[in-house]
Amino acid sequence: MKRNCRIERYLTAYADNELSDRLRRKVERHLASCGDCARELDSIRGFARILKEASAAPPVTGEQWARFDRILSQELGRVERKAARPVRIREARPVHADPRRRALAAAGVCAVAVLAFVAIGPLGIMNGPAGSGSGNSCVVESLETLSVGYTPMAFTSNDPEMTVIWVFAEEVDGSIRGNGPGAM
Amino acid sequence: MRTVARILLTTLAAVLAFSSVSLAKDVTVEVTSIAAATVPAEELSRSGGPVIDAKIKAFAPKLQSLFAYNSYSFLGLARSETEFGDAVRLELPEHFVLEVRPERFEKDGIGRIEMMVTLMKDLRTEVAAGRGQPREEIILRTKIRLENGGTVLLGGPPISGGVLILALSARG
Repeated sequence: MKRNCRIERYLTAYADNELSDRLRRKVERHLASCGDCARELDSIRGFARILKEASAAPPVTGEQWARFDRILSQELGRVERKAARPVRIREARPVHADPRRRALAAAGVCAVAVLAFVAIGPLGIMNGPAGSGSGNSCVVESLETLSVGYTPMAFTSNDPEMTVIWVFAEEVDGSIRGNGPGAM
Repeated sequence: MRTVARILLTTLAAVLAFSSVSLAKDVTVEVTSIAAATVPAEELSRSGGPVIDAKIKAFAPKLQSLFAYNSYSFLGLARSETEFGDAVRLELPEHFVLEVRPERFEKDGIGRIEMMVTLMKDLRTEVAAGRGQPREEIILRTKIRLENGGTVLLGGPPISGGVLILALSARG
């Protein structure tokens, strides 16, 4: 087990050759009789050697310095141009972050949608009774009868605009049965 | 406030559900049956003019303009809803049956409904008692393109005391 040596705190400075002569001799006398501190000193020196090797970087060449200067100039120019542009600051608007107000707005939208839906109807046509519309335009595509004694015909009047499909009923002898369409 | 929003959203959902149900029926078909006749002049003078049933007053100007009859009586009103492609049968007075099959909706201005219309008469003598097999005679079969919400008049088949006139309307 490692002993608590008072000298141990001077070991790093001793390794860096930063101690006075008196302290340096005192540490050396202790190291001669203390194996733990000697091993600690070796460890400190090994670590210092690793740091020194790792931090040893090759010297910067003139070409690298010139490249650094060029990149630095470009970056400074870009920053200056950006700073010269006018900055637009948006006008501050009140934010409706209040959940109550948002819920009220949503409810309003829903109410308008419901009212519009009910008023306009699902197909955009008021659901009135059939036949109440003013349009009476009708195109007759085909007309036939499958019974003997009937002759269908289609008429269209302009005023009022109305299409009439009339079935003339004939007597067995070929004469018209009934009154016919009258004034048509 | 949230409760109000929830209630409104629920109402909206209910309305949408209701509308989807109503959308299932695409076309409303309505037929007004009218008996047209020519009554003797003396009878007409007692009434002070053409006899037109109050229930068909809406059709009076057109009927008087189009036909020479002087008596129009309301026989009945039949209304039904159907979908495009499905036929609907409307039972009419005097054992007439009108079958209407809307085929397609033509988006032309207000829109037109193309439909097959078949007028039949049940010839069974026992039809009033609901007995016997149907024996329907097809008096008229026509394919028309009627303006949405418009009316077409079908008429001519003789009935007791006059002729039958049908005012057929359809709205999609």
